[in-house]
Amino acid sequence: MTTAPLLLITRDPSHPMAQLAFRFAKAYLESHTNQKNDNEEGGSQENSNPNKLAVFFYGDGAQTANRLRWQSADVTDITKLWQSLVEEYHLELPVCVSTALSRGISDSDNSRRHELLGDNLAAGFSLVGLGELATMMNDRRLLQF
Amino acid sequence: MSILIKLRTPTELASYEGCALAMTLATFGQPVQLYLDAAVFNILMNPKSRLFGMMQSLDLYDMPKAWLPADVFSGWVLGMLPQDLAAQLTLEPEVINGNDFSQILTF
Repeated sequence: MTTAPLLLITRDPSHPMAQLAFRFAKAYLESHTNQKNDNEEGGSQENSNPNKLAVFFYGDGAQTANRLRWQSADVTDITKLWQSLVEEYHLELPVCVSTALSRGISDSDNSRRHELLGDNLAAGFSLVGLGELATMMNDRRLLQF
Repeated sequence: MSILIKLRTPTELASYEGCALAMTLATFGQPVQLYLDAAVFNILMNPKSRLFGMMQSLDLYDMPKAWLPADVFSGWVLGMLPQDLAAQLTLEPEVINGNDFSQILTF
């Protein structure tokens, strides 16, 4: 089995590349569903499993994890699209904690630690250290969007 | 195979985040080559920027000297920077073999 790619998403959610990243991930997961089912007993759901598609939100890509980002009804809500992949494929959505905090995106733990009022991390996303990305690489092909 | 990380967005935050990623990957044993585009020179020359401080410690991360575009402007910048920082920078090679890099990331 080939090693699954790691998608490094660094663009703002409004950028065409951010939309492309989602379409790539969805198509990849759909095309590998049968393989996943075949290997389900021995397969790991962890992001470090090189056979599983992994994504990492970094830089402006962290804006994707902001649940308070309002958009008009005629604009695709890419946050919800990524959340649908969590439900359907158990995809993990790690976000670099440093880049998220510097853009005003925080979870309850970090809000408490940094004395911020409230939290706004969208469901399904998690804030992790940058070292997590290095661990996830694990000889994977890294694709930047 | 090495990863080439290009810094070309002229904001303090973007240049910091690109450099932070390079240093983190280097910490985990990943060979990384930094390339600083002319667009970030104003940040590089600002002693208060994080990029200025981080570039001074490239050798602590066993990272090679960062590349600058091979032109007159880069030569001028090298002459204007403090010696310890300029020592961490060099002009890009005349010939770059794309096969030497497994990935090229841009910030």
